[in-house]
Amino acid sequence: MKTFLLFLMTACQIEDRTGFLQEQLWLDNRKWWYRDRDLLGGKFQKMADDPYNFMRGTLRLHWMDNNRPGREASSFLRLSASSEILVFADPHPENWAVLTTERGDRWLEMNDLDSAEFGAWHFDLRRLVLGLQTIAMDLEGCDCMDSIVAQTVLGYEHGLRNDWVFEGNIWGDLKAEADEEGEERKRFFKQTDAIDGENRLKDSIWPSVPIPVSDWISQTHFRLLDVARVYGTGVSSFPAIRYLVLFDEGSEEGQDDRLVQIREVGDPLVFDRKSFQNNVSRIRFSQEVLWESSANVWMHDSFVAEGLEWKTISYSSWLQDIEHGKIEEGWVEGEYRSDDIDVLSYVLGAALGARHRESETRQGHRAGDIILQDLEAGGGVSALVSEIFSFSLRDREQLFADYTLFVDLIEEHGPLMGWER
Amino acid sequence: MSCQLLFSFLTPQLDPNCFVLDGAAAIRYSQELPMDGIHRRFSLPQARFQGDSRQNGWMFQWRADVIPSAADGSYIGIAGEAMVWQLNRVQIGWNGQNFMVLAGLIDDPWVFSQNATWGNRNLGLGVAENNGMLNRADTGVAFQYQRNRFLMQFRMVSGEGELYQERNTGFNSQFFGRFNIDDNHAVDVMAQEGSRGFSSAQEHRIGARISSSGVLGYGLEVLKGWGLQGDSSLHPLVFSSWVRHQPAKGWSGLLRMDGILYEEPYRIDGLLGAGWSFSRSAQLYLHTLQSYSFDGGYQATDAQRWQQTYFLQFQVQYQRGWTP
Repeated sequence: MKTFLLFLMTACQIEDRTGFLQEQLWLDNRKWWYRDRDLLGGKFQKMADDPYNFMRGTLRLHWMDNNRPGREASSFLRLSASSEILVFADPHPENWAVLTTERGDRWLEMNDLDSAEFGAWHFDLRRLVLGLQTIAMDLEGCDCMDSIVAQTVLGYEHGLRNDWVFEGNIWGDLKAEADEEGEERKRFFKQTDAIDGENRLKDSIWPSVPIPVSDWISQTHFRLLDVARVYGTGVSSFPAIRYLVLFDEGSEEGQDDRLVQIREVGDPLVFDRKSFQNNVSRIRFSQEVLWESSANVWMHDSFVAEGLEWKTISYSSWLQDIEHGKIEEGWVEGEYRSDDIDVLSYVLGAALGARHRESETRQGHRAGDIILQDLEAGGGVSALVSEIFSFSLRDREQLFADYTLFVDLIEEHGPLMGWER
Repeated sequence: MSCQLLFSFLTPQLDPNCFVLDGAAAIRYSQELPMDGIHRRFSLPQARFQGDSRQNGWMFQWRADVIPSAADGSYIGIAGEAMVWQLNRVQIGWNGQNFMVLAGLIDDPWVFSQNATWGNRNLGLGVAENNGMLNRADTGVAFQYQRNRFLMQFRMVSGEGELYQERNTGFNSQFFGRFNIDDNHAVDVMAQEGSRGFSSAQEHRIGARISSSGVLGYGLEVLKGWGLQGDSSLHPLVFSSWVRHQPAKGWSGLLRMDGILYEEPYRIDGLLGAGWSFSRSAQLYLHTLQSYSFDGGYQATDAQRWQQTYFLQFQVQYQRGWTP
């Protein structure tokens, strides 16, 4: 009897969670559902590929879960301003990239500001730790969950004090890749073919020129050479409209041909108090405040066209994203060890702290000082480590439980989880 | 015979043949503490237009309210965040001797009766609607029986509310009962078996209310829910109590306290205010809304737990009826 009751209770909890999971996914993806169900199905399929992709596609779920009634409150965030800081909201590892330039400059940058808004610094840290631990879960024999928390928090505090070093094997490899591929223009040649001495995009839709592309070109001094529609990239923004644009500055030699991606921008998924005129001004302001450098390698811009908001994304090989698949490969091949994961955690924590240091509160005050005060008021670094450890344990368990539920739904009902019925 | 003020289906209709149009608007100036986000001093808490047409036992009621096309937290609306009309009632009814049949986008009788007895929707929504426990209207049919002091309504609706299409194959079934103790006092009860969202998450409710619509109006209601907005694991309990009084001609005052609890207390809202009518169609209100969250989510700072709003609201409404 006791076993039967336990079974019933467990079954009810699973059913409850399935409902919550589906409802949050629905609210998150309603726009795509009405626009293009095939692309939404593609997004869900990609999320089902592995837990990391699922984590990338469920920012809203993570946020809403932490704000449900009865969830543990943070012992930090005691100062009002500490929840009013311009933050990334989704600084998981794959959103960070190493940038290098021909001049040899090198820095770490957050390459996705889609969710940036005024909110709590604490959630950024929590999200970063979840991302790192999700990668580590797939690294066989990596007993590094505790050290990820300790190193990320330690790095974060050092970053807030601007006292950190950008080093480590994983970073070294990314830098080498950026240097090599930047010089070779690998991305450029992967996407283009030389036809009659002129570069053309492989999936060209020329002579069709979508309005966002022509609008962007008209605001610049560039010459449009070709356009392609891009499918299948990103996770959260997988169904968004994307174009790859080939342009130059007027030379007939092809040396100045360059690529940029133009992508539709959506609303931020968390921190739901509006603070900007629109998403364009939100992204622009976030670039100014949260990016370390505005070097033109980014080719960043944002604008309104056809009633939608758009941003340009650099398509240069001088920029190399962190990829969880490559870290896993390096681990399997013995290139990386636990120490490397620790250093990765430390550096990402420090980079986050350093960007938070330079960020602003909604009232325009410097964020770094406020976060340090808040850190002190909440019990200091050791208290933060133990709190993030506790939160991350629950976040991680919940993520993997939700991932299992999600995969079951996809397998049972198809890529749209049966919503179409 | 003059045309009576209509827009109700819960009270006997005195004018069998009538056509009424009604409009109202309110403008609010508010001060919030603490000041989170962009501070919106001016807002439009109400702008409505509605009609009620009755002839030979048939009834057609519609209502539209102005809402911003972008939700809170979204930058994406219609041509910016333009105000748009939202239909939230399109119901066709037929009256027999003691019964009525309603179909279309029909009112939720619990929400409707709360609005009627509270009488100040433009100052604050009812506790059930305010906390997402019930929708104002939904698509479906209702059967109503009324005899002497008793009224009963049974309705079957999609369960997704006025804003969404059906997401699952289940109906929401709701029973609403009213006993009119006398001309001013009533006891209401309700029970709902329902589902919401793609996963058919439970959406069950039971509730009870006692209220008075006299010069000294009061109300006390309790509503228990199993499931909330597609989340089956939440089992909220809400209560609301209010007193409103008109001590002298043209003057009114009100006090209301709402609470929402899960396993533990979650939030308490208090509303206190006074109003002055300088004509039948225009009023001025001075109010304060004090809201204390016991659990504001993990990121709520101590200062953000207590939200205070002070507001001055000017509102007008006008009704015109015709009897054929």
